[in-house]
Amino acid sequence: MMIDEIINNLRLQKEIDDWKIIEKRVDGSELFFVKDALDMNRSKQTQKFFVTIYHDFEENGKMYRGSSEFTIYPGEIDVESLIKENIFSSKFVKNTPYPLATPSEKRKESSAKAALSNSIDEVVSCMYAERLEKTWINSSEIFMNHIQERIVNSKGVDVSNDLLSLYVEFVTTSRVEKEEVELYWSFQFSKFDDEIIKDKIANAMKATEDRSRAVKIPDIKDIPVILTGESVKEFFKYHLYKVSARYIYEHLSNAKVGMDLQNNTKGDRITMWIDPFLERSSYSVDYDEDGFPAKKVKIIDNSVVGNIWGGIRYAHYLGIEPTGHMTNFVVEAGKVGEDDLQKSEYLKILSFSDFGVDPMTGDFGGEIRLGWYSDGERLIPVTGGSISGNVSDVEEIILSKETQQEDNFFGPKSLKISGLKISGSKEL
Amino acid sequence: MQVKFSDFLNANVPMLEEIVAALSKTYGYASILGSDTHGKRYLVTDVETNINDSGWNERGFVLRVFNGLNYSEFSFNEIKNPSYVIDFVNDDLINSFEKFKSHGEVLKCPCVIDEPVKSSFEGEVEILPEDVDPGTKIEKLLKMKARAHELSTKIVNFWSTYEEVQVNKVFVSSKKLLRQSYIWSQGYLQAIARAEKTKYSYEGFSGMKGVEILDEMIHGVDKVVAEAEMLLDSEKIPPGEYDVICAPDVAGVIAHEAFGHGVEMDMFVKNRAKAVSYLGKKVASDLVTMHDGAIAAKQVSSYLFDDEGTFGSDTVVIDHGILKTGISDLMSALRLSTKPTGNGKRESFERKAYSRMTNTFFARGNDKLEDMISSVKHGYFLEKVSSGMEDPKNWGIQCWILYGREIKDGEITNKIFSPILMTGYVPDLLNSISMISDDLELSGVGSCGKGHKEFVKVSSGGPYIKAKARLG
Repeated sequence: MMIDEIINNLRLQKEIDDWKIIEKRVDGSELFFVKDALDMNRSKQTQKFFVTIYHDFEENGKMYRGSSEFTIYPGEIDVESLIKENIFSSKFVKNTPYPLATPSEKRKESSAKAALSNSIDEVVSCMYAERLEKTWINSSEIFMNHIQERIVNSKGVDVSNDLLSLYVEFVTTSRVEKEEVELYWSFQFSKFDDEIIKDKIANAMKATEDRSRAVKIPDIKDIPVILTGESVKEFFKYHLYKVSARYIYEHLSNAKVGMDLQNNTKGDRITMWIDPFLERSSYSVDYDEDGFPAKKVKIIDNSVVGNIWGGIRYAHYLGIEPTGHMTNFVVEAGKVGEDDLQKSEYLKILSFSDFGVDPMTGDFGGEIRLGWYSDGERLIPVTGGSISGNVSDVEEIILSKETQQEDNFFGPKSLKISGLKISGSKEL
Repeated sequence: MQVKFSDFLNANVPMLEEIVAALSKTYGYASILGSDTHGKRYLVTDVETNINDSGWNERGFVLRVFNGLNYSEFSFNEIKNPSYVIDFVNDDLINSFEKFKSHGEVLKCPCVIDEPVKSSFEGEVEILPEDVDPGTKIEKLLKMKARAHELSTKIVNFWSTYEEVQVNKVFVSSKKLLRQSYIWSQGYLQAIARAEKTKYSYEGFSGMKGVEILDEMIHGVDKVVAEAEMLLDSEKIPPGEYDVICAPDVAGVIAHEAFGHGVEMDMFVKNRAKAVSYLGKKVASDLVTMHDGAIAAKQVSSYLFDDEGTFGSDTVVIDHGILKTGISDLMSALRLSTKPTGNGKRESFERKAYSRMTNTFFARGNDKLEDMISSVKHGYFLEKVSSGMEDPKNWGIQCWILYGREIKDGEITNKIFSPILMTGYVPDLLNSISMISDDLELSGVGSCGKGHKEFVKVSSGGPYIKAKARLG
């Protein structure tokens, strides 16, 4: 086996103090559609070996850990030269020393093995089950991957992850009014669930019909905004990265255990977990990329930093217990129902062009593709315009009690925030 | 210095030819793209140094066959022997297609008719990556970091990144044998400043260059540090519609999002492009001419042939405000009975090919930047683009811009606003362009996705433009 050849070569090199290999095999099926007609079918079989070599050395009385990361592909005829080239590179890398993962109690390894070809056909059937006269799936792409990972290191770690990933991207088009409109969607899961898929398609169709009736967003200011769906996950990425060991070590975050992240914000307090075992997430793993047994940990408790999350290296640098690299994160739901969030004047946004949060500065925003504006009496579908703000400047946060899962995120379905700017379409 | 073609691909060409010959007999058309792209990424921050493989590295093959109605593909990175690949296509890939065909609809596509051609291209750079040891590269990055801290005590971290990538590709069909090998490199400086809030600025460097780009990067340190400090005093812009002067990188992302993604012709096939009904019609101010093409400029997406074996070209997308044509991959061109423009690109051999941009830019105009600034009564000078998003069907546009300087009565004031979200309706924005400078700059740092995936290397740019835009 090629991995044995690589390990034997690594062991022969005296200048290597430690090493790690992640062997990754992917077996995939892909289908591409225009409307419901097959545009192309694809298959994939790949294997790669991601190797890191570590070289420890002393300079001016100080110890350093050098390293170099490289990939070995099947059929490589000169593994030894590649390793030697990277040993040379590692001598110029002067990092503070850090340990590798050591063997841990073996977990019962999960198996994602599935009949890929059967499942992908079922996904297609589910997606195209609903037919509406004036709204349809314009195009879709379905990717089903079976991923097998083996992580081996010089300290004796030899563990595996067996993953299944279903990724679907689709565009819905509607012609309820004169002009056709479209919306873009995607979802990713590790398990096939026909009800979830049908629900996603039905919601997408409905939203696209709503967009076709939408009018330009009026010149509204200082009203609360309700985020739903994927933008809720994106919003919380600021809090997630704020308590990352790497962000803290790199001085990109000033978070400390005990710090209140919502000092200036009224409303619900955020409680957040990292959870490597989140069901249906295609990121759920038994072991992280270091081969460390990942753990479920509460990182923010009622807006107060409870634990810093991080892999072995950055946890060691900060002198804290490693949690393993983050794969999934969970935000605890609120107490208010969505119906109660939608009272008085508000702007609820169902689809953005590309909603984003800068995890370093907290700036966030996006252009609105579909929203609902309520002036307290009427409910109007709106499009165009944008929202922008900064997480630290948000005046109030209210979390819905209803929940959602967006692949590696589980949390409130909606989030009501105030204290941000809305750019409407008032002509100047 | 000339770039040398991959030994790995050269060694595999006979096997690729054997596979293609066997499958062409059965299916009428077969082709293989082989990729061997390798390079390194060097990162120096205040607290660590890393040497990794470039994120663009790949080594493998993608095989395409005509299945009688359209095309099936197989991506793989190990050729145990040619018969394994041939058997997989016959027994698995085509069987999956036949199984679907028995109960589902298939979108037909004509069979490729290749012209016989053999060609190769080997690019040149001043300094090859292998001629400079990693220590020298790291040393230069460390000097940039040291310089940043000499300049300011407010910098809490400074990142300098240098990435060198050698692209090697071979395309084999029964009538074509194409080889290309070239190097691009990119550098990225990021200064993170902190006072009461955290702000950062960045500067990118890119080109069909080798290690010499490191010497350009050092000259960007002072600017990026000054910007990061300046942004600590930035304000939020009052939402509204304003006169704006866009720097070349901002102009480039407008070109890219507006009529780059908007004219990708696989979107024509899917009826997702509003542009189809505007071909030959006015979509922009008369001042606007826009190009895309692998040979339209020398930047990170310049090549001899695309990932489907079509030669690169220079496409005039908009000519003096009139939308002329789109940019196309091979499959879309076959379906639309148009000529492919050499824009069929893959994220890697593991992914499907789509119509994608290469080097996209507005052509230069006749105005002087100082005259453009003088002409603004109240507006903003927009610099440093962070990201953008397309909307080909409904022509919305979204661009995140790092900062804008206020212009009042024709003068740039000391007021800085950051970040800025520019949105609008594409024809409104392009028709509002009233002045275009006589400069032309392209940049190819980062990557471009289609939707939210399929990241490829592109460049974009142009001159300074004056327009009216909605900012928030």
